[in-house]
Amino acid sequence: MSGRPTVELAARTGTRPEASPASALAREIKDLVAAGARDEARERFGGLVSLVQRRALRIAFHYLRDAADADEVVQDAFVKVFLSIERYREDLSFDVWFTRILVNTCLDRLKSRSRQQRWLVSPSEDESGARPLEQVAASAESSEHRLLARERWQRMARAVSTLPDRQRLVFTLSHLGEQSAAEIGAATGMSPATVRVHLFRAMRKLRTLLGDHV
Amino acid sequence: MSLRDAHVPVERLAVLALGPAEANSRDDEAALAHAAGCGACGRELARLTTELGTLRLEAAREADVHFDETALELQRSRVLERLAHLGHSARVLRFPGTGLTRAHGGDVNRRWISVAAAAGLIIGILAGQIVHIIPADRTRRASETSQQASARVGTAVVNTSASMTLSDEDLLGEIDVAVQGRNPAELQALDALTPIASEIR
Repeated sequence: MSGRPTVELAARTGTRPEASPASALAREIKDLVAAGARDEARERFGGLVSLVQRRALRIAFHYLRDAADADEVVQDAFVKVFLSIERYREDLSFDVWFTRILVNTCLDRLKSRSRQQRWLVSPSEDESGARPLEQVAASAESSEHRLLARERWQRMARAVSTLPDRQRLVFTLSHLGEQSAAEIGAATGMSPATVRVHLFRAMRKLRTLLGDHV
Repeated sequence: MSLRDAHVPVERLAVLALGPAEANSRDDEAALAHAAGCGACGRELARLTTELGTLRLEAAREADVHFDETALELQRSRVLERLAHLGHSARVLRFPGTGLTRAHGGDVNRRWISVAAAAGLIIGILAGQIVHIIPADRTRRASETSQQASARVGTAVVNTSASMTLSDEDLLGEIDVAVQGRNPAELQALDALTPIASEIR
């Protein structure tokens, strides 16, 4: 029997360092702002943005399924973070705190989008929900394996887009954000038990795409 | 259903494969312990872990295509630029030819003009309402100027409803006057307060 899954999961269940680089930098920025050194705080904030922006963009993109919206939402989230940095609680992981702000900003964008769609004609969308111009161009150099993996992911993405909002959010944060149920709960306001229930239900709906060999 | 006696549901295995297991979750510990001892569950857990990891990579690639290093740098710059402008009031674009200063006094003048315009409108509306209840003969004598054109309309209505003696020709005449009247009393007060561009320049 392969020990790989056990090893991987054991590694993932290990305790994480208390102060991630992002958390440590957030504390420094908070102290600078409190001391009135806003210019220096802004300079340091650029480094914080570099640390977390890619992950944030991945989450926002897959939740909103639109690159332009994801870009704006992540920008807005960063601005909100800086404006409220003095309220950052140092006992909380920065990733969790930032994810909470990001999630709320995504939700606001979805509400805004639904209001616009009531009055404006939406551009045509393909089955994946992404606008045609923003689809990933197939690379002629992709190996068959990559191509098949990409197709499987696109089928999964379509299925994820049909999940109820909370299940979709929890799945996205867990799958792409690689966050635990406790972290997702802290970011979304749900209890860890509720997060797990949503995850369980989401995986039940997605299980046909993952195959069922048991 | 005891995990010791049955296979772990594939949904639970998928959740375990999806993200970090809870450090203090007894269910996760039990499921992992079972998978470690059960060939079928162990193989399924390994397969799901690999599959979800592959899908995670593809999802990341799909997003990263839209956000290369240039896009990331641009986003950082925009964020810092927005932060640099925080706390600074927006640049006010002066309306051409208003002559209003950006000093506080100019703001106060604009405010008073707005209040005066609103008061004029209200007075005009009230005046129009009062005209409707003035007896018909008095309004007919006062209806020679264009300033009282709207009063004539009121007069025509009052007369028509009260005496029913207005001929069709007279009524049409009253209507012509009302239509030609360009400055109803209700709006003249507002018009008098509205600055004219040619006078300001």
